Amino acid sequence: MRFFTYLSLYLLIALLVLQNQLLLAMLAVCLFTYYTNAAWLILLGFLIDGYFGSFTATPMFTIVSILWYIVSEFAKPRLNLRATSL
Amino acid sequence: MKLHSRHTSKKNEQTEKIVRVTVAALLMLVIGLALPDFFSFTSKIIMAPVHNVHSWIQTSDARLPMYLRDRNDLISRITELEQTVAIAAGTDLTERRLYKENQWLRQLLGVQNDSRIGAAVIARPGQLPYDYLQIDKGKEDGIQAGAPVYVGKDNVIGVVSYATEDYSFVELFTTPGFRATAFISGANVMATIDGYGGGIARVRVPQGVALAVGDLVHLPSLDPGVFGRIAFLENEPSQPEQFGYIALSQSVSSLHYVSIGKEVIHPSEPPAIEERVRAIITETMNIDVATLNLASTTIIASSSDRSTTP
Repeated sequence: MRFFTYLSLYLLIALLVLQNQLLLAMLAVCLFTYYTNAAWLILLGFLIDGYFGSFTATPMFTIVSILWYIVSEFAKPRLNLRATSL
Repeated sequence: MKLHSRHTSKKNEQTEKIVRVTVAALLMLVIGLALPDFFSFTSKIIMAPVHNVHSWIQTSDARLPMYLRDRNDLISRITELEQTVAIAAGTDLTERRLYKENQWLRQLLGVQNDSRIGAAVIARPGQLPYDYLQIDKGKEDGIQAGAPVYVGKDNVIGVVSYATEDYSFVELFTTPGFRATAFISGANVMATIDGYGGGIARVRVPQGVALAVGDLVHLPSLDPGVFGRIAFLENEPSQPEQFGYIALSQSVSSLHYVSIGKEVIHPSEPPAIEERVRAIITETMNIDVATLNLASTTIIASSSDRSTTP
């Protein structure tokens, strides 16, 4: 059940980014990062940049997702948040 | 002491994990930059369900997407279209006359007419995170990356940056970071256009050049390639340069249909660009067509034929 909830959230992030609802996407990303592992967002960054054909220029979503992963993983223990993974 | 060492080793493990994932991601990023087509193809397949939902929300007339779309946006679009129709009705006759005259002059110069592909706009810069247009035609319909994109007959707005089988993305000339060489008629100078974002591009020329609001901006590497008009001038006498801001002839939010050239833009050779610039100067010099004698146009046509012969 939890897996499907996280999968839905994951797909929702992708859809929100495609719809350019970036603020809502950020909220969903924060929720996703809190409950699961932000490493999955790197994969999503790759997929979104691939979808937009951005690997011929600067793949912004991939770079941002890598930075987000590093920041969130270092911040989680300091903020006393549990670091769970699927 | 034991507790402390367990805590430290757990922390080290966590750091190691972060480093491992980051290195793997960076490695993937490098591979992605080296093989962009492979990554895009894979992403297209995986993202297909998300793309379908996205297109459904953007274009479907079903109840749910209609609710999801902003009602006010649709109303303002209708008002905008009504205005456009009203203006178009008034200028239609003048346009048709000028278009015929232009076609006749182009025929005299030996220019071939290119056929185009019509496409509907699925998403615009406001609806996409990148400053792109998304159109509903792709490689299956003959769209190629690098093809020019037009609004109307000769108003070029950008180039296809990436094409999949059934949809494509268009990079606008107003996208930040986009640069192209342009010819400004009126001032009759060549200058570089810089994308500024939000449907605006900027051109820089030295002080003293007679740049004016309303000057047409042409892209000599495209044929026909009118880009827009100078909409605003920023001229500080103390500065060495002046800036002209170019707005698209139609706002990006009101773009619903575009046409795409079948020919990909090839970098033009300097002599070809000079020839195009000369042609634009001739066009803008407002020569009375009746005073042109047939012998001179024949010479122009034959000389252009000769220049294209290897």
